[in-house]
Amino acid sequence: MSELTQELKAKIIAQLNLEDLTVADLDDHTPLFGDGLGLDSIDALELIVMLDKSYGIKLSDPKEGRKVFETIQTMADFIEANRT
Amino acid sequence: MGKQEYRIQTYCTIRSRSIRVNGNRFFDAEPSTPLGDFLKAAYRELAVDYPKFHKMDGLCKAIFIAAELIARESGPYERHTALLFANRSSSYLSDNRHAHDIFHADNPVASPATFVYTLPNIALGEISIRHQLQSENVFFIFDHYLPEFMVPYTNATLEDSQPNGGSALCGWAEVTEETCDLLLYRIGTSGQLTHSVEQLKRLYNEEDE
Repeated sequence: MSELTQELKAKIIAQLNLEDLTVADLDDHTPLFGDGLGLDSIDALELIVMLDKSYGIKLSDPKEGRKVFETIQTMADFIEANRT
Repeated sequence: MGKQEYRIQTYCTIRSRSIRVNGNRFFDAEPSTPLGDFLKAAYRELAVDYPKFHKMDGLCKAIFIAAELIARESGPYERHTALLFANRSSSYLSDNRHAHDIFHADNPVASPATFVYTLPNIALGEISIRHQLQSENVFFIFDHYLPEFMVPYTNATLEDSQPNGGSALCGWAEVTEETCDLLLYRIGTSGQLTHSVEQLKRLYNEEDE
């Protein structure tokens, strides 16, 4: 799991152009939106595309997305349970 | 009562890996520096904390830097500062990237972060958010730099927007994969330079003199 969270951090930094951050700066439990990383709605769409492209997971229910994208850890848990 | 005369208060050019404000050097890099690296280095030189900069396309980044420098030189923008811009290639950089993504042979996937920049006036939205502007804005597409159109259009816009108007940020911002040809200038009711076609031609060609 730790390997997956590290991989996710690297992908998120690259995909969302978070130039001022490194993998070491990201905590597994930091909120991705709001007061945490401060991601926006376009970033949320990018994360949905990333799930599909990198892990073959299609996310169609917006309510589900709110939980899945809460933290790096919740994303990793969701990927572990649903990856194809 | 005669018509208000408008003046150029501050101007900024970005060209040939050199950024100048009112003709004075702010930042230079080697001509061989990739444009993306150059704009990123200029952002670092600005020393502002605005992480969204890194998500912008090249057109937005160049305009962001110039708008920031002009505000630094001549003070914060008034809320009603109109934004009047033009270029030749519209948002071609992002359009091309988006087309490349969606027509990819093996994995055609649209990137929302790319798609959101597939209009040139998105750059004006970015400036409005950054400087909290609630004003008129327009982004023209011309074959070439055209102060003959921009000067009377700017004057008319400022006249129409009275009593709240009187200030504008205008410019030409042509950005390709590896080139940046940008002149941004701030218009107000006071300033050192006349707001005229001849003046804007002189400022545009200043780096080449």
